[in-house]
Amino acid sequence: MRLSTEVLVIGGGATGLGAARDAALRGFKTILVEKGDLTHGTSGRYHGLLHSGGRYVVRDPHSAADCYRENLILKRTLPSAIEDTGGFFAALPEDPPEYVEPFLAGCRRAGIPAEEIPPALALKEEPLLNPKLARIFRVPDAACDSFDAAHALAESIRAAGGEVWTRRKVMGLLRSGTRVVGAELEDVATGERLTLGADVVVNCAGAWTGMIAALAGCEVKVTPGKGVMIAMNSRLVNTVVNRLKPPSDGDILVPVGTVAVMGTTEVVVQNPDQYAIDDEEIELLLAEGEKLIPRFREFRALRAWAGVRPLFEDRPSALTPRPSLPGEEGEAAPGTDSRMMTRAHAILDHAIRDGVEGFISVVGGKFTTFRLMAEQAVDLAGHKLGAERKCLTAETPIDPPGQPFHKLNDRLRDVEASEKTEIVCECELVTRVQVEQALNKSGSLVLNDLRRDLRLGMGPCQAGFCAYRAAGILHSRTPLGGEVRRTNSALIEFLQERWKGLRPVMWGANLRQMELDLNIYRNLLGVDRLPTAREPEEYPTEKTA
Amino acid sequence: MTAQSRYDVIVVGAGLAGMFAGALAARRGARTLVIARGLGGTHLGPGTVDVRGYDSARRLVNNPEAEINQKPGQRHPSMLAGLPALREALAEFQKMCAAAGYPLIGALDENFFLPTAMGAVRPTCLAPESFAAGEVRQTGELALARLPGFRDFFADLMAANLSAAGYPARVVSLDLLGAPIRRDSFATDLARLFDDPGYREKVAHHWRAALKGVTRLGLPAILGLRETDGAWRDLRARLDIELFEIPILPPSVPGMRLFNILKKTLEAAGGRVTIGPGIKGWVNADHTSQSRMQSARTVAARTTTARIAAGVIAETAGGPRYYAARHIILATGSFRHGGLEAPTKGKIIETVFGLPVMTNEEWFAPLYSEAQPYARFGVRVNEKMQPVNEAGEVIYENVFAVGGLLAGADRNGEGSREGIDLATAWAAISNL
Repeated sequence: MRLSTEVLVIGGGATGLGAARDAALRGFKTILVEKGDLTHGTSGRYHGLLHSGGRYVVRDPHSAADCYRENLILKRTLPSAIEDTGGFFAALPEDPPEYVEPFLAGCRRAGIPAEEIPPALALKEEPLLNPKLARIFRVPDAACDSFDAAHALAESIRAAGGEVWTRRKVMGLLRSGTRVVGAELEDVATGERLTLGADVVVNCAGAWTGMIAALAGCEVKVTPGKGVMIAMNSRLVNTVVNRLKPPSDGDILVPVGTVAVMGTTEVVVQNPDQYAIDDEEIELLLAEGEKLIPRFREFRALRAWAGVRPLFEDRPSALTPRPSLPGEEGEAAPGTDSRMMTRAHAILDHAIRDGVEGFISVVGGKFTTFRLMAEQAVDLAGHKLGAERKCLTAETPIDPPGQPFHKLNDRLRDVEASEKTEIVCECELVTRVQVEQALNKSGSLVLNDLRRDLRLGMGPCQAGFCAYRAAGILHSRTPLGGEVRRTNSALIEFLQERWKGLRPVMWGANLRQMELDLNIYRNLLGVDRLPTAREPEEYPTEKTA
Repeated sequence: MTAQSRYDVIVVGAGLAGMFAGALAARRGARTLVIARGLGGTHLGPGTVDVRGYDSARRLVNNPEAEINQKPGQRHPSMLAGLPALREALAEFQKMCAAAGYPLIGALDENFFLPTAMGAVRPTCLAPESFAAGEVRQTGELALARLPGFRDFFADLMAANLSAAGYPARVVSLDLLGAPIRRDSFATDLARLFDDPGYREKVAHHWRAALKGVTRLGLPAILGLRETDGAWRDLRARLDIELFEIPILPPSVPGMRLFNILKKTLEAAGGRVTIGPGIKGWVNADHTSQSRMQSARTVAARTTTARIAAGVIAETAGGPRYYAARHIILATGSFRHGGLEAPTKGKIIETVFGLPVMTNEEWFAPLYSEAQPYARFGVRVNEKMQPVNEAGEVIYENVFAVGGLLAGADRNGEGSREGIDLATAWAAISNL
């Protein structure tokens, strides 16, 4: 039997999930496919800042207004994933004072409330901030957990009758004349091929959008803009803090759960699957962190990672220098600082652009505006399906009714209220029952998925204790014997993923912890000598995504 | 500064190397103090003595003596004082353990191949008797105990890996009989239960039926925390089968037994163990005190005459306290235990004296599962275990460094951890 759907969405990041949810709510038969796990790409490597738009008011007023509108909608519809921390734009003595006026004018234009408060009051709220603070403004920024958001979106898709298929890679797009009529999929776990017919295909593959478009013979140039972030092992601030200056490297600090994320850098890379974290980038983030929070370096840097922003310009001339902003020194060299490229998004109708029917690509944009991008993409998809139905996502809560607001102590409450069950991960309070439920639900054999599902292994011990326990639980789901290589591989891959994030910030307490972990896995358990299903060279390193 | 206490030997660090050095010194009649910020590696390790488990390609080594003897000129820390010293160190440690009623068996020319809790094979030179029946090359099917409710042992995973490697193993489910297992219980919680003869009698009675047909049973290393193997012997007799323990995640029950044996030996010989105060500096022969930060500059310079350290300064709850000593043994371990510290990327310090540390450009391999270059960083010593500078000159006449602090060994990769600890501690004390 040939499987088919009305709308096929490619990509399990925020945009794809948003588009699939939007289509499903409008009553279209919808299937989302993702080659990895949900948020496997850029959404899962996001810094967690739900923008108020303040960051873009000077350079990109249109994006700024979009951000603010979407910020309000998401706070209303997705409270389970959002901590309404509020945000500050803080001007340090070294920040250009002439940027303040255009910033305030931009906020007024975009309707973003920005209230100046006395530095002394801000320091009372955020005592670790640099006391030399010159001026500070309060804006409605917030912190968003992209893993929680993805799960809520996926649940909402299913509740609306749509389907979410992870670990299905698009190998080719089916064509009938000038029309795209579906996709050829591969089950990544089993290698099985599957043909899925679709009336409209919506390509939301983020930094990989160009590769999917190429399968339909369309050229879409998406520039991967790498951003490096560091998670500090303390919640250094309770409010999002932005530097009040033209957007640049290392100017945001976001409280996410128990950590604070310092971000970011921005460098154009050639390949979204292959990029390195450079020592200079880590050093830059620490140095900027030190300006915002004196003695920042003395706190433990827990891990570093990078994500690739999908930056889109239809004309390559976009990388030529533009006039500098107030307070900005000179012009950045063309082709290196992708911050010059717009954060705006575009919905590409390949029928108009390339003469290919039934195919839409969503490019550019950012996490905060995923819902808007999805709405516009599905508007176009509906038009193509000949059924222009009203978008419901701005009003329909993503969270199921009664879902509480995201709180830091939710996990502890859940653990205490739950039945007696062993704690698998002490750092993030994950129990055996939770691990089993997550494995049963996803059917996944990948321990890294538990990290995204449950935050397993993301705390200060960096999987030292929970990795073995999780491998044991994973294995008890499969029959004795044949599958053990896969369990071993899952464990080694999980450990390698942690290693990848630790290696760039391996000093002090991190190195001490890692020596304990290495002693457990290499000496006590001898994990590196076990037979695996994959060659070690295939595991992710810092140089791969 | 005036000294509050005077010792012949002060050992800084309470891991295997430090405790063994302390016990040896005390038994030689020296007034001995072991002082440490916290407990050491015994509580984290498997409770065995590894001398050389793997060759440079990480293949299993059957004969550790032959392997370490291959390159006679090498500067490997376990061989700095020569093979006879290593041999004597192991024999002395075995004697101490046997005297405590916890014999370690094995010989320098033949490794045991014991199963890990993941089901890999782990070579080791000396092991407690309670581990020996786990030898994988021994014939006869293995049974492994699944203990529902205990989170730190997965018999099914272990059995699958052993079976895949050609060592048939099956799983039997054994009930811990409503043992008060908390959500976060560790091996130590169960070990305390097994110290109780009443509990052992109860489980033996209930397990007998489930163990019908089982001749060799592996349990996680939870059979009693006391420094004898009485609990294991008793349960083995009651069940009437070959019973063996498998080391699991820390805290290590068999490692704690070794620590307890060394502590009792040391104290019985008049020595003292003080856990809590970190050592923050030392006192020169002219009674001026120094911190390691001042020292990093001075000792890095070429020394032509070795100096004398008069004692160490401990940070106690009541403030700094000066302990005078004729000999100081540094057994502070590597990064894990705080003997070495990397304050920022690429920087390294020895935390007590600011001794020069041997490093290299490359610290970490791209893959977690590979040999890590940083593991070989550490303090260089001569054959007497005196730290030396780049020119090979002794820095302090009466300071010795032993164990994980020393340069030149990848202890995890080689399977050489405890061999280094014992051999270097032995050599340092022999040279006092």
